[in-house]
Amino acid sequence: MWKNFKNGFIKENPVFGLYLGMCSSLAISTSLNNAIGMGACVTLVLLFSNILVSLIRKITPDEIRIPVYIVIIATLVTIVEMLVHAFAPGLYDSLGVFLGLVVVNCIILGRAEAFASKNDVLSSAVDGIGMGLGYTFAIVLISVVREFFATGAITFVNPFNSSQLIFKLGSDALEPVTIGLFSQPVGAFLVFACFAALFTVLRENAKKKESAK
Amino acid sequence: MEFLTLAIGAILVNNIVLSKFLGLCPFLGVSKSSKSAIGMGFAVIFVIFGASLITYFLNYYILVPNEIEYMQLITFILVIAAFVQFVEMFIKKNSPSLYKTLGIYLPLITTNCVVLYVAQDNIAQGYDLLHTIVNSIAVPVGYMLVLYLFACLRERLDSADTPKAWKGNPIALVTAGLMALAFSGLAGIV
Amino acid sequence: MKKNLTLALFLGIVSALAGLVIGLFNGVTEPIITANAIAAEQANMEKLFPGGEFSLIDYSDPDKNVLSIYEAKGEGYLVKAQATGYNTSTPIIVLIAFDQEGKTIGIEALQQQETNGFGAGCFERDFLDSTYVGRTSTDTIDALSGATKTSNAMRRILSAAFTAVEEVKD
Repeated sequence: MWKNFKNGFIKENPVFGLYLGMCSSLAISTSLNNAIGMGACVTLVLLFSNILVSLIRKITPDEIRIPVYIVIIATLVTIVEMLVHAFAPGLYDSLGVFLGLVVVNCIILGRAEAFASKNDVLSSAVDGIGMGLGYTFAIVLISVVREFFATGAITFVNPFNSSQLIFKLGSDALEPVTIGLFSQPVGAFLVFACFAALFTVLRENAKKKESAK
Repeated sequence: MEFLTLAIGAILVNNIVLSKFLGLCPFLGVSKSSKSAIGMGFAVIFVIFGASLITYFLNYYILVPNEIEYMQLITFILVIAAFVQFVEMFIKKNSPSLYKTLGIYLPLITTNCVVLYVAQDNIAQGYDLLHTIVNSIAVPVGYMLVLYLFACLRERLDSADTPKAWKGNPIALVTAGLMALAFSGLAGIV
Repeated sequence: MKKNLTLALFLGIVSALAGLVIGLFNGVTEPIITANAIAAEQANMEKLFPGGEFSLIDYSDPDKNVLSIYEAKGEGYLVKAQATGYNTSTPIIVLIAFDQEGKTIGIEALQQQETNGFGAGCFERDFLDSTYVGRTSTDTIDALSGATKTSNAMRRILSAAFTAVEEVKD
């Protein structure tokens, strides 16, 4: 089970390995705050959707399983959206439409179909958390690079109270040499491509090690 | 004039793939040949147009009068899924040749975020019926344009000598980034 | 046939349950969301008229530039207005304070996603205060060089706001 959990990070990282959930990972990775917020929302939805799908896997008729999964996921996303809107309005504003689009994030439906519908509740829950954290890990990586180069510092504010700064790494002295390109779409694509290439190398190396054994 | 601005804005300036990053999963998946890019493009135009019209009427004649707008997400996604299923069955029965070209792309479209995004965006922007129609044609046309251009580039990329780690999707993403850069140059035209 | 009925029934039950749960959560979160929105609006207005007493005035702008207009009791008016600049997907929204004669006395940008280094320069504190504050409806308003679209949007906002204030003043 630990292996399932660990797989989500490098070997089967949903974003860099399987290229799932790319839309949101490119769009909201402009700042660390957005990335962590989005990661938390996706992980929550993924955890509960995996649990629910696994719970009803024996009574769900096979022909309509996809619509049923979609209803479950849409419900969870709507609930998360409402909670974020109520308790973290700043995060709600910066995630905007992408919060609702978590519904069509392929990771969630993909895990429901490929894993939760065939496994028991506990391992589905672990799989949900692992995949969710893998996704979070990926967008945090992208956002750290993009935010640092675009603004000269990485800032993190309390999502529940946007006036409370938690930390700020970097310095204002860097501001004159920032590269605005990184906050633009092209920056998102290029940073993503670099990480994707890096993860390909990591995976290849891991595979080589295994076959050498 | 206003509709022209809206259309050009949606096709070129705020291109759904290159500036909003939507619809990327099929973008990487089916853009390996220009022929399948065209097939997917037409399927997307058709589904978005149909789904946007249905959701428009659903929203203003059922959800809003009953004050249950918070059910928007769940109704829209169900409508889209049902619509896609219906179109698939209809085409399969009535036009096997069309089914051969479009059929395999249809199931992919349910999880294409562009469809849901356009349906929600039409409502969020407060578009009336005419604007909704223009927008729901222009956005997927922009999608198809970029998908096709990208597929042509990728066909050439396949024969290029790419470093091993960058083969496949990573180099495709670099290409997409350069395309986004080129498209951002169009930003001033409307 | 019977099989189809069971399937439809199952999906119906799942959807009904989903609707019920969403409805429940909506009941809990909606009052908080409305309260937050009012508090945020109030906080912005307080920046321009500290300790002011605001009341909404009924006004509708045919061009849809002016979103809402408030009277600050005994002090002047507040206009919330929008226009599209360089970024066509996110309109610029600003809050402008007027004194009772219809002169601008303060301005706050509520939302803007113009390009950094170009249009976004219009929203730097110094530029906002030196360009848009202390103007009357007859003044010409300077543009920021290199940011024509953004400057034009700001002019449209200002002129719509002046018209609105002129109208509600009398």
